[in-house]
Amino acid sequence: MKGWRWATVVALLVLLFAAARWGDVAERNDPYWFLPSEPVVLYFAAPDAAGLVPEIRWLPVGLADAKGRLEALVEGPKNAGLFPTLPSPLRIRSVTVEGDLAVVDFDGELVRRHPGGSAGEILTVFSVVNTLTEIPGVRRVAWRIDGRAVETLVGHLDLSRPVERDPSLILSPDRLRGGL
Amino acid sequence: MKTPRRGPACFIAIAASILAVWCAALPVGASTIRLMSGGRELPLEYSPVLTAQGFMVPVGLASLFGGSVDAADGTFVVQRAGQTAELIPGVAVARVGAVHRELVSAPVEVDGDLYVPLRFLADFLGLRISWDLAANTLDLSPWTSALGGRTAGTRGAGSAPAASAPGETAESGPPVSASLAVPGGRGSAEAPRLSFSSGPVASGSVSAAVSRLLEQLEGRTGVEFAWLDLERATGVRLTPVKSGGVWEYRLEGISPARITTALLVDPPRLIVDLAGVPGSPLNPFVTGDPLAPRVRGMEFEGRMRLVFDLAESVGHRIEEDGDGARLVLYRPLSRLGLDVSPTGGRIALEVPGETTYKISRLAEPERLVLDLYDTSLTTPAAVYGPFEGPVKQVRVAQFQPHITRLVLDVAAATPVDVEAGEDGLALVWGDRVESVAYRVVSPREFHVGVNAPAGAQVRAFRLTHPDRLVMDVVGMRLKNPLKDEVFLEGPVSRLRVSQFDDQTVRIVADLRHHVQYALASEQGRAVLVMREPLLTGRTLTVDAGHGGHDGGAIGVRSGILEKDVNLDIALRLEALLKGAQAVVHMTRVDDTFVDLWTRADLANETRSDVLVSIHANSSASSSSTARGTETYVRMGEPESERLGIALQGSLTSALSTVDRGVRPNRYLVVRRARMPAALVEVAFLAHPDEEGLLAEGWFRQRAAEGIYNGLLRYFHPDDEIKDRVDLSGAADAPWHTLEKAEVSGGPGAAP
Repeated sequence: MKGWRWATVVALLVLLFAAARWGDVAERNDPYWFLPSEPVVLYFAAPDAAGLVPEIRWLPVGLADAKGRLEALVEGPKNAGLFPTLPSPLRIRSVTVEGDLAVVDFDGELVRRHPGGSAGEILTVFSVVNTLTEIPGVRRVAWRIDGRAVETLVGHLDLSRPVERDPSLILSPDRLRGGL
Repeated sequence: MKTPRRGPACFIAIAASILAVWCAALPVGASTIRLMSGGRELPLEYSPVLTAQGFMVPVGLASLFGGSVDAADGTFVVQRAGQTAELIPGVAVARVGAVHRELVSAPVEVDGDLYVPLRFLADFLGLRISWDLAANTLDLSPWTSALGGRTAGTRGAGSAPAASAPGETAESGPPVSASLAVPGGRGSAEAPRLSFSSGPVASGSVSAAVSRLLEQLEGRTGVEFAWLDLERATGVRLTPVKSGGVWEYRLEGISPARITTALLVDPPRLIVDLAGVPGSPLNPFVTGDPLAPRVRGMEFEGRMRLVFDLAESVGHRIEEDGDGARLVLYRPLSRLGLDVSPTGGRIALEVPGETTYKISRLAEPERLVLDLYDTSLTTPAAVYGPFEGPVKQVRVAQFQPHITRLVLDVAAATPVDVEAGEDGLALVWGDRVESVAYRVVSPREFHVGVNAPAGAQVRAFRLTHPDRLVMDVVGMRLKNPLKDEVFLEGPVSRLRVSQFDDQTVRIVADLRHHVQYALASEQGRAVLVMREPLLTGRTLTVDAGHGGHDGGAIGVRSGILEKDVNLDIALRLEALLKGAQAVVHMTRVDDTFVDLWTRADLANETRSDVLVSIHANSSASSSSTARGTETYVRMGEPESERLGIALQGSLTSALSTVDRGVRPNRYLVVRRARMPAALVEVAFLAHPDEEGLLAEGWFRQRAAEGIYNGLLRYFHPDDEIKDRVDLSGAADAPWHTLEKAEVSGGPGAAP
């Protein structure tokens, strides 16, 4: 009889904990609510391609590295008002961070499936660059496609040199509420 | 108890509603009105049909009242007691003996039977129509035994009620003095004023008869049917005559001295008593005169009384006309349209027909007097004003019974013109632009000229989105609306003129190409000189983005490739630049791949003054709401920013696209170029609308023109021509005047 009583108390406590966490989860869009997690900032395209809009995503502590962030970027935005900047699915061959330089290596699908146009190219390149430079210490991003250095992604931007963060492209999420 | 009663009640209600709907669906013609005569119902086949003009009955009805009907050659002849009436289907005139009588509506032939207006047939047969509302019947019964025919001889002096206007009693106007005795009037006129016969008409060809009749009607311009009934009854002939746009009534066989008149109101009507003429009730006569649409005749106190029903209460006079008299109704002045501004104005006087007027100036105080003869002011006397400008005040009143007087309190030097139009007169004063002219001096120079007096202030300025040059002539009014002029070549695409506000005439030149302008004058004419500047000595590199295996963006629906769009715009731009004498280098002129470094290096090696890279935009296809035009330049370099602003402004002006602004460059081509350089994104291939536009040749031409205009503005930043403008070289080019627009309404209604 005593065992039953204890079991009930434990079950109630677990339920209470779950309920408390559920509120958080619902609020912060955290699929890994049962793990310790941290917020990261991802950049997606505004609906009129006018710039990039930040979206906060909770990732488990161990997955909040460069690779984890890029995978979340490929997955696309949770916010219905935003648009993805990378084709999905897309294989990320590697991401390494050396000092202030992050080196990304995407599969060639990125170029083949890109819609083209300078607005599209800017949004793709700078959603990656601005997302990775959110990692403390990272300031520049070098680009590789299929393991090789490239001059440009689809014909406008110079990717032969590492690309620096461009804060001028970032729009306030408030702009979405105006029905942009 | 309730339930068994409800069933039948419901059934009755439903049945009743069905019946009601069914009845409502019946045509108007199938009337339930019965014809009666002497308490007996007439056969159903003679039932009347109700039309908008009243009841129509089969002409065969005559046979029930001692008449007979024959039809020959499309003409129906009704005979009774020696009288004949000829009727033609579709013709609203009947010939009764030698007299033509207008019908309220034309007879209609239905299955060999002719339907005629009941009123006419009853009159002809000498029947009285009485309407029994309660029984829903029309009763037809003879007036008197004597009323077989309508001749003067059978008519008792004023004993019979007026058949033409049942229910109408004699006019209750003031007693009109009778004078003199029996008329020495002429005998009955035998010849009808309008003659047509059924003789030459082919059998059954009713339409031919109608058209013959109409031809004869049209041949008789000015004079309508004489009222022969009156002549037959009294020897007095009344003829309406249309002269000078208004109607007059000639009375032959009576001297003016025997005519007395009285004007009655509510409704307005003019009583004309013919002393010494025996009275006779007559059918109402429709004149065609909008001022006096109907004339009625009746017997009053033993003499003939004519009643002119008037549309407006106007004055009149009786004057001598040969051996007879003439009734002149004064034309009504009902509306004074005032359009007065500090610089000029116009007063429109709506008077029908040609008005006789006299204009005179009186001093101390200075005023201008306009007398309109034979005109009645139908509104109370009024004072308008005070106004700013040369005309301070306008007064209008009935000066004498036949003169309406308009007085303008006006400054001494102001000339006032009278314009006579179809709707009446207009008084006009102030400065006016009478004509606007243009001349094409050369393919790159265009002049607009306005005849403006010394006092007029002329200004010119530029408007964008779309690109326009405006020439305002201040203190002037446009005399007439003018037609737009469209130009297929040259810097100006269209020229249009309008009254911008009450004291500014605005001339707008829609620009195809960027121009510099200056104001000059030539022989009293203000001239706006527009010149498309040259790029002599300039070197430019034009880069068509992508090419070869690099197709660039892809059209979201049709799949057109960006590289093709870019090349087409670039080649069109090349032609425009070469036309302006620039040296142009193209990074590619066909579908080949050139890498980004080579493109920038071409501009550097040729020491170009400017590099322009042409692209069409795209973004992730799911965000297809993105649209508009962008220009990318290196920010922080004043010359580059100026180039970007010029290109972006001219492109969005030419294309009417969304302006996404001049943006900081991130692109290799622009970054590598050592001169001011810009990358333009003309529009979005990823947007369905803009993709459709980019597929159109005219849109790509406009894009090329937009870039070209931006480059002209970059190299020639001054709006105005700085050198002294010399017009002597342009003297050979002829001036062309803009045509008057055929717009109803005054100059104020100009577009």
